[in-house]
Amino acid sequence: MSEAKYAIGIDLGTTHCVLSYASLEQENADELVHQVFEIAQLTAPGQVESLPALPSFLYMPHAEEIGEGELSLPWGAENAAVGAMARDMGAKTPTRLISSAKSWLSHGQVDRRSAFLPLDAPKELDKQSPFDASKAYLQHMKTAWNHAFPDTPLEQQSVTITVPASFDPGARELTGLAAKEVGLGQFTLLEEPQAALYSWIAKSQGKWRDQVTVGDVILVVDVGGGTTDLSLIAVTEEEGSLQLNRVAVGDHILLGGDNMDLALANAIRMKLAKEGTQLQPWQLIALSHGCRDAKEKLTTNADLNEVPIVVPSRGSSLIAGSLRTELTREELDNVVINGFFPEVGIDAEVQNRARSALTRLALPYAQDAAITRHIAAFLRKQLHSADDVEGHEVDGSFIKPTAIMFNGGVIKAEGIAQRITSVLNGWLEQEGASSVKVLEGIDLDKAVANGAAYYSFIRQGKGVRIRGGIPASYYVGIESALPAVPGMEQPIQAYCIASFGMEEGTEASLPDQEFGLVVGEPVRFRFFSSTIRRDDEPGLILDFWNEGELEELAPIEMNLPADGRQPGQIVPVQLMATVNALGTLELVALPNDGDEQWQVELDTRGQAA
Amino acid sequence: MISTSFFGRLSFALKLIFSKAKADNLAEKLKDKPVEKPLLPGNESGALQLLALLQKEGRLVDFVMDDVTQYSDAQVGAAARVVHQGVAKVINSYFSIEPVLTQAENSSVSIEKGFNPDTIRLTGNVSGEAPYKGTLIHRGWKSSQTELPQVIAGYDFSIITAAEVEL
Repeated sequence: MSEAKYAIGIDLGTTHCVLSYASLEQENADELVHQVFEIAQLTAPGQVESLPALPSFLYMPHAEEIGEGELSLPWGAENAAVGAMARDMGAKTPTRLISSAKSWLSHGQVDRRSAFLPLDAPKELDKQSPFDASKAYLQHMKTAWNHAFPDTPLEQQSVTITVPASFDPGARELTGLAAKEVGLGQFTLLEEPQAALYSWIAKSQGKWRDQVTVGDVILVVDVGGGTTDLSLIAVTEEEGSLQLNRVAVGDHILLGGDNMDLALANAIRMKLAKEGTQLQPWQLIALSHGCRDAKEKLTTNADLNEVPIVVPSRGSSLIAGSLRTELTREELDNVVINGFFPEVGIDAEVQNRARSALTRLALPYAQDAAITRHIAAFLRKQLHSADDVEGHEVDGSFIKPTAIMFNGGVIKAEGIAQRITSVLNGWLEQEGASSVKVLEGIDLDKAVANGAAYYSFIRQGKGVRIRGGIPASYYVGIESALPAVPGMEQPIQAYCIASFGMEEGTEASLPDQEFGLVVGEPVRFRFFSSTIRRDDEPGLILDFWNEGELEELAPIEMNLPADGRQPGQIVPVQLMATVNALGTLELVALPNDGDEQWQVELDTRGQAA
Repeated sequence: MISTSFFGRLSFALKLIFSKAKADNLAEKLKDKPVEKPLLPGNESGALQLLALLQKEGRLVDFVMDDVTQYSDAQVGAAARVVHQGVAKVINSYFSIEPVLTQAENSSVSIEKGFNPDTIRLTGNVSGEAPYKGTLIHRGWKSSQTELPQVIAGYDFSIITAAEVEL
């Protein structure tokens, strides 16, 4: 393989993908120049444009929906469309559109490799899995790149692909597998909030060292189109130079800008209904797009009190058929600022309603829309996450960030960042701590891709790295050998197999607990993670844990091939965890009576779908 | 007979001399054979492609094909917002537009020798030679880069927007 020429960062986002690149021939990470690759894609049948982002949508057109050759790209024709045209056509024909594949990829309750998308697809449609869709986006970017740079194909470059910090091990593994199946060779995974921080570092051209000091704890709040991702990064010192350590990541919160725009659109729909105008479903979609622009205008311009929104007609009489309304500051404050970012106390609990039993297959959207409550819960939960950071004082009821950085398209509405900062400062003041400094200057749409390209660059050993390792401790559930009592759940023990912060390329010491595997049959184990119990060593068995300390993930599956053994025989094995070069967790089962190794499936076939 | 005074005759003679000098100058220019270039038809597919983009993003054709006299200014204004936003998007995405001259309008400007008459149009009292002094009336616009979407071979540009039938 020839030597890599470019450092590449790929933001494989829920709503759009961005690819950023930098020449590896540059010397100094502090002066790194990178740029966003314009991705060729269909923008209408028979039309191709190169755009700075690839919308993460896959549309499978009906044979008679598209003229001959109209799915042609500069490198050949395809059967389905990815990108801008897919998004636009899907807005009118949602049953043939796959969107939010990334959210499905992190949904532990479904089989992420079974073809069930689009959910409401017509019978004749060849459905796809969330994994296939993610692969299609990567494949498209790779082909577009290779077409533009035939001498430096993507598979030979140093590539970093970003994932949410809150992605579970299965979703990380699938993302890595998708990249592998697409043929990317030298790639690694990076958490998105870290990528955003790298982008800030790159943009500061070395001045970041003046803006943070040892003992600082940076809260990264990343509010994307569909998800909210939280991380804490501590600043330490090693051999005289500043070090960054990712000390905690938040839970997976399926809540983002799209929810806010839809909430605004609904508020306006009700206002119009009172005035006697009923909206059609298609108008609601156009209205929510209008609300997003209006939201950005209102929050960035304090002089405006209302912004007009026009929902264009579908038919050709634009003037008669369009609907004019407006978004007022009061509505915005009520719905978005107070609805999604209410002024709550640090002791606010995230509200969880019990789900009704008959929920249809759907994404597990956050039930509590208040992002400030999620932040409060995260900071309380992670009170002790920076205990061993020099210069950081642990006291009170929550961990005290000293700096905050925002990322994600939603933050373009400036009032949102201001509200989060003021709520956080209120909590800090209450417990006698000083206000946070706001780390500014990143490009909210491209920071993740740019930061990932920067990371690809410094992986060659040319700059500061954020240390992190795996974002949680992991446990396998063992059912205890107690007699079952009717009406009582069988007590379960949690057996630690990997501890928080294990770094890439390391393996956990081999614990002595044995598991019995039935030969030739898949055996499932319950699987847990904890972002709080960071000091548990592999081999530790927990009989009891506090509520919220451990979170159950999708079960893991071990499948012992029957070759050379009696089917049905029970073989004792030990479990060993390693963190591979990608930074993803791998589990292997080692039989006591041989030197074979079996890979343990982290991404299991879920019960649903 | 027309009686002409001496001074009148003198001034007439002088005028003749001066205008002869001017005419010589002009004649010299006209003596060169005018440059001839072949005429080509305007770029039809480019025009139709732009029209389709303006319709797709800004509903421009819908707007113009409607009879505005029957609507109130408020209704026309609301639709104009759609057109303005969409047309602005097309212009900003496919063209890099900048003013030809960057000075403020209504300020006095000097136009140096050798300027391109396609770029700067002289009007009013057009006489003499460069450098010209004048007032900037309109800054002009130019597109330093134009990048329209690629289309497949055989694309039917005459369809500005397809009819839509919901099933």
